Amino acid sequence: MKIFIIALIILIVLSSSVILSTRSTVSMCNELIKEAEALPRNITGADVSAFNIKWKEYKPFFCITVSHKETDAIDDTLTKLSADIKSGYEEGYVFSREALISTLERLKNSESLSFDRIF
Amino acid sequence: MITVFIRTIIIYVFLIAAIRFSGKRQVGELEPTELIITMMLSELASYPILDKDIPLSYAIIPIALLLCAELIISYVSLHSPTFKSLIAGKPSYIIMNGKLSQKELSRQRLCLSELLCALRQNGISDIADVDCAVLEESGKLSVFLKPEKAPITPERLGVQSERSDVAHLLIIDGRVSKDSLKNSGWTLSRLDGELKGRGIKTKDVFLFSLSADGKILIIPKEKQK
Repeated sequence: MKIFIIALIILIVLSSSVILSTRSTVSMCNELIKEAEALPRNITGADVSAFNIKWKEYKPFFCITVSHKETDAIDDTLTKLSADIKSGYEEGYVFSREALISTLERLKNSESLSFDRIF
Repeated sequence: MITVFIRTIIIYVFLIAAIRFSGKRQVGELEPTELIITMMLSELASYPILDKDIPLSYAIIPIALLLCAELIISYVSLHSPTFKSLIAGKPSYIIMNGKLSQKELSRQRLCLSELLCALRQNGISDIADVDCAVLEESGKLSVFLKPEKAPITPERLGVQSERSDVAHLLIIDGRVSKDSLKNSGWTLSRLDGELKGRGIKTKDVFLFSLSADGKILIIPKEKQK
């Protein structure tokens, strides 16, 4: 009986922590998407430092909850975005900004609970 | 993460059903749920080791989930025979009262040569000698011979037999086994007295065995060069 109760408690704790971590990941993704969308559509006045700060804050949590390939993809896009801003490469900036938003959207969708993602 | 969580549950239930429906011959030594746990745990544990892009939590959470599920299922199985038979199946009587059930044989997807092989593995060369053969949930075949073919036992001969209790290993490699000491009915002071009488210390004893009829066997440790 004792083992059964312990197993049940662990199962409840596990389920709760998974639900919580999923909710946190999705809400962090939403914040990062908002931050990325706040970047100007063209290179004039573009600054990724605010996004960078938020990303550095959230990254350790993402490393636990999502595939490291996803976090690496965001890192890569962010590096490219910063490089494009520095070099003043307008086309590259527009492309990298869109890529960053779409990577975050994909991450959010992969973490959200949906029937088609399960099957 | 939640997708991984739900997928683990679905795969676990699906595998139980798959193993259950694949028949007892697939199971072998383990029960279906134990077999699945063994299969899944080894796979789950290896993924984050081999692929550094997979977070550890992707293995730890499903493993913990499977272990909890296994504990809960085994507890419920213990208290509900219906649930147990649903998960692990029921024993199948392949031969009953010396009569082979062809229907049961085909239901278990066993062919005659496999049955004969299992009987030979049980030391039986002639199927006609078998009174009852049961295919257990684990996939093992239990065989009972006809009374006229069964080995002679003291009971059948009407002879009183003596109990053959196992010997108690009181000291193993210089260490006293408290459980064995308790089971043997001896006390530590009695053991010390016995050793003192023989002029040997506990730490110098490799094996101290006490048989059911009180015979003592002491093997001293060999001196290391």
